[in-house]
Amino acid sequence: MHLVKKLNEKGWPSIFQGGHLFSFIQNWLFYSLLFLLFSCNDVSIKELPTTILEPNLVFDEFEGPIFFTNVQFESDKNHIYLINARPSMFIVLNKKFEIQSLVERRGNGPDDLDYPIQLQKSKYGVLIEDRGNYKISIVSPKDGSHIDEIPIPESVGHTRFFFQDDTFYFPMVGYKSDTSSVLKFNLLGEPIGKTGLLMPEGENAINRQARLIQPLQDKLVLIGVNLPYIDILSTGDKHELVKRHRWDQFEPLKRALDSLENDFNKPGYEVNEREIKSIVIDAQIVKDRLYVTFTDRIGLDRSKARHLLEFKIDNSSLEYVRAIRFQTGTPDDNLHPTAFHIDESAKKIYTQGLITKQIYVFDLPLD
Amino acid sequence: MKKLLSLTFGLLFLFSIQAVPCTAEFACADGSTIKCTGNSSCEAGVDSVICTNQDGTHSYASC
Repeated sequence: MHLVKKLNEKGWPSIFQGGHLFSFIQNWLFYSLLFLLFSCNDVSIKELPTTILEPNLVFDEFEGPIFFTNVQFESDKNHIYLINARPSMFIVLNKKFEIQSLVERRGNGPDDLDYPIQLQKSKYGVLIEDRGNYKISIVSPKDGSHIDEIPIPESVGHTRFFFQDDTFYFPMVGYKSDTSSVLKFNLLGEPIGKTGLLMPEGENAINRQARLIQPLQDKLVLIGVNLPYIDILSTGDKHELVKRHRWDQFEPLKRALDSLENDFNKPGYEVNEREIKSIVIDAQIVKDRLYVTFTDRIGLDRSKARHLLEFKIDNSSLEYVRAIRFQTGTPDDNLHPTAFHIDESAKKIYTQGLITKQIYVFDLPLD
Repeated sequence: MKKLLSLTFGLLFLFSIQAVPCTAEFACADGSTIKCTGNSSCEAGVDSVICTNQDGTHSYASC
């Protein structure tokens, strides 16, 4: 008090005088605690500055001319494999996007394709999900020649399948899936089980269990498309939960989820029993990195919309690495890409724009 | 002149945020139909429809 008295004589504010000092300290402590509380809340939702990428290459056709509509990509050390839904095509390209081989046969014969929508390279050849014929076509990665075909035994969803150890893992159709959201079948097309754990959802929720499937070393990763969970499951006959991460601890996914929940809770919201509203559109795991494309629900000003998020993932943690915006100067910049692929060996990202359908090639940002 | 310019740019901005509505519809084998409405992109596949709206909302439906 002696010091305060001395200070007051030198003209310090009146709050330091007499009984005011105690209430000042009280207030200071209260507001400090309040500040700390809000600071802690801010820390729990992580947001990073956006990395803007501009394309090195843009294609609206391949030399020929070969036109495409809806494509999907796959790659290995020397080649890019591409399917086009309509007209039904399988194309082998080199890393400069020059055509090495092209198969265009629409029909329902053994070596035909009808609306191919996904592909994965395997030791048996390139596995193509032929949606029109409801089968897996196996074709040569050299020239696209027919090797074999496997029927898809049950109704499955449209998101990425995954093949490992002679087993296909297919996401179930969202409105038909429940606790078991993933169908497993063997090389003969025989169902060998279902897996997946119920992701918690609110009352009266509908079509919320749809997931994306990706591998993580010897584990299986199931990503909720509109529920904020990433389940890591063990492989083998029994798929046990190793870890459940949450993607709603990161912006802009948290905002997108809040916006979606708001839509669901609007008075008069019309439920479409077969409709799945999605936030996470597609996902790819490359080594310890999880890349997801998503719908950035930031409203009608789309000039800052982000398209791809990169996370570092393992059995114990999920770390936000970067948010990416693809800046092409076209209307594609406003919305998520309709397809994306990380080419690990070329360190490139391939995307297809939702509006123009152009194919873009970007450099993959590295740490 | 300034007012005219700002009105022109204002109208241009308004028109630029308008998007043409579209609908994707598909008849399923069981006789039912699946449908969605968007204003940026609507696509019907062989057994599914996918629609995206200008605000980023995205939905998928299949037979």
